[in-house]
Amino acid sequence: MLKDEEIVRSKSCIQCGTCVASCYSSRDTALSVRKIINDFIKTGKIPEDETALYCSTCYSCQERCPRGIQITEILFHIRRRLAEREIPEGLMPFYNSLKRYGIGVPPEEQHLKLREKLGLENYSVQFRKEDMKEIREIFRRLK
Amino acid sequence: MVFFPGCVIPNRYPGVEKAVFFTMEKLGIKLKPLEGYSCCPPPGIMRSINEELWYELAVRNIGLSGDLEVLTACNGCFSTLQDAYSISGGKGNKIRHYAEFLFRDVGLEKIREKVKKFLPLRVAVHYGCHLVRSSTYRNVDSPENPVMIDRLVETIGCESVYYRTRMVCCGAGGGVGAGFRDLSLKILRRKMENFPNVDCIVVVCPLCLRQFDTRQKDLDSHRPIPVLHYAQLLAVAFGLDVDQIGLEAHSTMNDDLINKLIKGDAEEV
Ligand code: SF4
Ligand code: SF4
Repeated sequence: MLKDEEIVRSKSCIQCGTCVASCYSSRDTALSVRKIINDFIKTGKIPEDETALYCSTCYSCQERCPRGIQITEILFHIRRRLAEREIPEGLMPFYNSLKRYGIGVPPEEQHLKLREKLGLENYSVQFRKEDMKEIREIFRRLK
Repeated sequence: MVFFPGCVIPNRYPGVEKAVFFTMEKLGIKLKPLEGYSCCPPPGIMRSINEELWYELAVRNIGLSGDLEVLTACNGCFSTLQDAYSISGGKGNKIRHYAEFLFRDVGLEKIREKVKKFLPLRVAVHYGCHLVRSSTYRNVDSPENPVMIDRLVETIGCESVYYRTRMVCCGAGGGVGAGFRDLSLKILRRKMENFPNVDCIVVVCPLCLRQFDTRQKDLDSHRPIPVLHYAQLLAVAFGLDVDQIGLEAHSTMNDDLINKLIKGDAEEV
């Protein structure tokens, strides 16, 4: 949850580029957090820049920014704005599975077998009808 | 304590779960499974889609634990539950990660006392981003130069080999592993450039584990290096049979490492 004062703090950016220099995603894509912050300073609006999706959320930029700008949180903010229009295709399988089973990465046959061999119980919400109702209810309310 | 396994540990690498319960038992720590838990859910994916949904699901999971501390062995679960807990106004150290709990609460001395078989392996440790960053929220070790996992592997007889990119992301996080496969591999390639010659990579997060385990084969001119969760290594050091740490789920295993795990270092015991 990006607080207003954190957004305002972005105006103290000195365009030093430490963020971009720290970013491995930027080396292979057009993602430039320095530019995103610069656009914000120029226009007063956080740009809905789709390159935010390339961020692997490693937090290196945010950790190193000499102005303490919450860069990664700003990227999350942009991503949510983008998702309001359309959830990125690559994230849909996980989202759908979470909605259906309460679990983003459900087990396949071989994993259940291995669990059995290791003597592990299955105790996630996926295996409990009653608890699954709570998950559905949360999705219904907030979707 | 209750164990929150998340999705990838129980459903892809269940040997990690087995190893967590085994090692905690050996250390005399009562650990119960958190029944009825759902996906944490991961910040990179769910916090990017709908933050309220992310929050409510996380808070439901925390609520299931009552007054007990919650133990995770995944950097993603750790960061989601810790963030949601603090947003909800929760106080104190309720949400724990296996690695920092061992290092800070159990302590190296006690771990060393329980070792049945030291493991003289050369290992490359990978902390994973969300264990230590952002330090504003995590505060478990240095965000740039942490030492916990190095000390933890050394305590059971391994040599931690330094490499330049040790704090670089594995490339799986933030939905990049799920949504942008090419980019994810490019990050892994940069991570593994000039990688040292080691017996295995040691991680404390199943997402990093899966990234190294399933994507190294797509890197050209590179012989895949096996990867283990620290819990699996510790379980073997504490005497769990190598057959019981779920190595059949790993695609990068090799006989050389398996033999070294079975044999250990007879000298040191
Ligand atoms: S590191 Fe911080 S101050 Fe420097 S350019 Fe990036 S956002 Fe601006
Ligand atoms: S958090 Fe995102 S933008 Fe910042 S350095 Fe990491 S990948 Fe780049």
